[in-house]
Amino acid sequence: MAKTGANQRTGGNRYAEPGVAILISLAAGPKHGYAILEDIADFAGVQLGPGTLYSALARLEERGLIAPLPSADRRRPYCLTMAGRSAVQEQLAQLQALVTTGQQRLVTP
Amino acid sequence: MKHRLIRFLLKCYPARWRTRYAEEYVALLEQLPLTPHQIADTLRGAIHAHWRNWPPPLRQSAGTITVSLAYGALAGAAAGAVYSPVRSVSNAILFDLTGNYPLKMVPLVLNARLFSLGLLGGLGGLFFGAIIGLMIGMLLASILARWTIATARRPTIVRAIVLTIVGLGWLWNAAISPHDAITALTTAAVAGQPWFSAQNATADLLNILLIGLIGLPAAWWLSIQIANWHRQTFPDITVE
Repeated sequence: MAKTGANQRTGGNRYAEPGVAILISLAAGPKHGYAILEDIADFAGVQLGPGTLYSALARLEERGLIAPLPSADRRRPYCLTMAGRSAVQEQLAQLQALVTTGQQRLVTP
Repeated sequence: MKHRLIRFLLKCYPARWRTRYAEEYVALLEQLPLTPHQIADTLRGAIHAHWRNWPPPLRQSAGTITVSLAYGALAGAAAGAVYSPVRSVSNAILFDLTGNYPLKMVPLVLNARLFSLGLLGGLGGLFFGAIIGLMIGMLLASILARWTIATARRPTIVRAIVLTIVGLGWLWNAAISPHDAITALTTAAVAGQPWFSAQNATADLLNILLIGLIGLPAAWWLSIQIANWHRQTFPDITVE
């Protein structure tokens, strides 16, 4: 199955895709790696590993969805770009449509 | 100890990646408890970083070849399930109790081999048809993207070619077994002295048949694991 639209931009088509979780985390403001891990564990209940996190960060940065900020110490913060904001909005709209359809079908026997 | 481990983990990453991310990555690793799970995840990240270093066409081909090899393993196990018992019977007929090939049988065996080749060449045979049919079926299913259990990606020409090459390799291996079996039976019939050890034949047959039969689900499982691993480790690779 070829990836299209928001899936292609965020690098995945699975709902637990780390890229989407990172974008959602950064939507609340710039964060460095450790803060992103903690935030995702809080709102998604998923504990990402450091390798997974930095694989996803590198991919998102390469695609222009996030950008590194100057760091005061060794921990570099990242922020969401405009393209990243629109990509995460698209992803969430798709998920919303999925949730709505699922709920309707569960209610209707 | 922890700093040494972090240094080792960092060295697993490509130099270009380290130039860009080393400082912040070390800072992150220092903050985390390095459990076995975290270490495994870091190593997986290193594989991913090396993978991303490759030029895109090469990455695509490597991904394709990985999945194709998984299909090839499946085809091989199917062929092996047929191949092993037939071969063990022919070995049991042709070899004596000590496992040595009787020298006086050589001319007869050579003639029997020629007869067998002629017979197989003339008749074709159900065996070849079944294996080739299996391969063509897999290839068609793959090309038509109907076989999505092991991979959610559409096949490419590279994948089809690799599948065919791997499958043909196994087919060649499997094709020897009917040839050996016919040779053995012909030799035994003409010589009237089959050197047949029922005890050895039964043991060989059961042992190898079991391996062959276990190999099929094992290869099936393995092919799914490889494909899933491939999909999870390299989620950014779009094959088409």
